[in-house]
Formats: sequence, C-alpha cells, structure tokens
Amino acid sequence: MSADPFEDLVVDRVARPDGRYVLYYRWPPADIADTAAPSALHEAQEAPDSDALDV
Amino acid sequence: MSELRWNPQLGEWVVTATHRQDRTFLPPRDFCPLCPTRPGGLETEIDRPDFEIVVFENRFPSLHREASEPAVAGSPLTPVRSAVGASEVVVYTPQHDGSLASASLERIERLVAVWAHRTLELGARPEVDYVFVFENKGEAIGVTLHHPHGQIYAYPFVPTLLAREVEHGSRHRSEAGSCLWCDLLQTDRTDGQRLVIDAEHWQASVPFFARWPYEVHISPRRHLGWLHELRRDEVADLAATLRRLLRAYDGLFGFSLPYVMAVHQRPTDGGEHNSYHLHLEFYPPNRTASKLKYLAGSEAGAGAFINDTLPEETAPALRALAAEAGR
Repeated sequence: MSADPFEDLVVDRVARPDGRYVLYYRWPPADIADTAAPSALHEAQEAPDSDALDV
Repeated sequence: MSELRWNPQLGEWVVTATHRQDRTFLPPRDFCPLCPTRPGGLETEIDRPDFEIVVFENRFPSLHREASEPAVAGSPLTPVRSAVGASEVVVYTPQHDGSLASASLERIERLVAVWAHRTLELGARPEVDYVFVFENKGEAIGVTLHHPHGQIYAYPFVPTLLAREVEHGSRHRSEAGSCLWCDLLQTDRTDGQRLVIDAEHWQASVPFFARWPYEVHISPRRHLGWLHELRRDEVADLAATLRRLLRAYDGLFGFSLPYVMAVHQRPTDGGEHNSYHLHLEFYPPNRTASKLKYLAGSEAGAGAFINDTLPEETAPALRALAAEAGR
C-alpha cells in the first residue's frame, strides 16, 4: 500500500447545460488506476496556477 | 443577486445572496435533487444512475465562479465587492438515507480525499483566500436537504473566525515558541478529563473553552495545516475517529444528532501561516434530548457564548459512547 492516500483518486469533469460543473470522483482498481489517469490530486499540485475548474 | 458588503463596525464582509430564498426546501424523498438520476426517473442534479462521491456547483450559490458586479453602490465607509469564489455541494453517497455515522470507513477516507482535492484546486485560484469545508446536519441546524451531503465555500477573504484563529496561533508561536494547537492537544491529553477519543494519529476532545454543550474538536497529533498533507495511515485514523465520534453523538440521546462540522485549514491567501494547525470542529445544537442551545442575546448581540454545561462533565459521556462505538 502506498503512503500517499490520494494517488488513486480519479475525477471525471462534466459541464451541465447551465454551465455549472459536476465532478464525479471515483477510485478504479489499482491496476486500472495505474494506467487510466495520473492522480487528480497530483495534477492539481503540479499545476497550481492553472484553472483546473474549466470543464 | 450576490455581493459582499463591508461591515466597518466589525471589520468583516457580509455575503448577501437573495436568490437563496428560493432554494429547494425539504423536498419529499422522491424529489430529492441529490439522488442519482435513475432511468425514467426525476432528473436530478446528478445525471448518472450511480456514483461514488460527487461535487457540483450549488444551484443557489452564495459565492460565484463568475460573479457579477454588485447590484448596489458602496461607499468609502461601506464598500462592496463582487461575491466571487465558489459554492460547492459534496454528495457523500448515492443512498438517500443514512449519514456519515453509518458510512463505511472506506467511504469516509475517500471523502477526506475529495475534501483535500477541492481545497487544492479551489485554493489555487488567485481570488480564493480560504477554502471552507463544512456540513450542516439535521433540521435543527437549518438543513434543507436530508440526503447525506456537505458543502464547500471558497471565499475571496479569510472569514472572521478563521482570521482570529490564525492571528492567535501566530501570536502564541511568537510568545511561547510553540504551536497553540499542539499545546492544547498536550494539555488535554495530560489532563484527561475532556478527552473523547485518544487515537494513534488524532485526538478528539471537548475543548476547555467549549461554546456548545457537546462541542468536540478533532486534531491531528502531527503539526500540519491542510488535509492534503495527511499520510494514508492518518487518513484512515481520521475516518475511524470521525465515525466513532459521530456514532457517540447518535448514542447520546438516542437519535441522529444534528451538528455543524467545520474543517479548519490554513488560508490559501499566499501567507505563510505555518503556525496554524489543521483541525475539525463539531457543534451540535442540543443541550438535552429536547432542548436546543440558541444563539440568543449574549451570543448574537454581544458575541459572548454562555455554555450551560461543563466540558469536564460532557466529555466523559461522549468518551464512554465513543469507546463503545470503537469496539
């Protein structure tokens, strides 16, 4: 088990018709998460100046 | 319409949000906007038939990602600002019934991860000075939807209570050379009377200075400022501690106890704030099974809380129930 509690978190970002965003958080099985997407938390940490909320 | 109006008496911003008068109020369960959208069923805020944890922008926001200009003109004495920021809803589960007290530890751990992720993303926005994760639970608190959920506000300022805590933590660091909350943790542990849960990485106690009869603060033993700094073992221990406390609350009077949960993290305004220590605060309004603590004259009019109970007497009751919940 990793020491990082957030590395397996994946977020699907969806825009509603009225412009509001919806964030679906999911935790795929570890072998899928390894190849599906980088950690959403780490994405945010690596790009703190980007507008990560644009969907 | 939303805007920020400056209160020069108290030196704080007030958010006006008149559109919130029209928000959904205690709908029947078949019309719950936080349930998933089932095939052929009501179209809710969540357009999938199932989910794990969902965050979405509040339909009736107090603070807006793209805020309009204030609808009123301010003055040098009472300036106004756009109510820029974010108002998010965090839906804990697709199940309409239940609460965090009945959630699995895995779900609570994942919820902590979501809180951490939202804090990082919202806090990275230049206009956001403070990310506030909270939950209002129960009609006595004024909750308008029963489906298990919490909220997140991203403020373009540091709210008054947090600003005061940051200031006093910094002052304590300057004067005593130590962290205020680390010292409080040690004091409560040494004294023992007000301890509720003495876990490996977290400690829950009724503070010596509790404003509410069954107020509890949960703090990590390690000095850190944000949820995203937690290690996996600390997240797991937080989930277990949190659930034990909430089950103790529910055992107190034999019903699911209303409360406000407030997650206190460091500001995201670019300051250092290294003195500040992450913690969670819980304020149940009940002083007995049938009597509520109201914010009356002294509290609302003078800001001085009167607590009708002694922390040294309320803590043992919660401690016994928390011990039972941990078995």
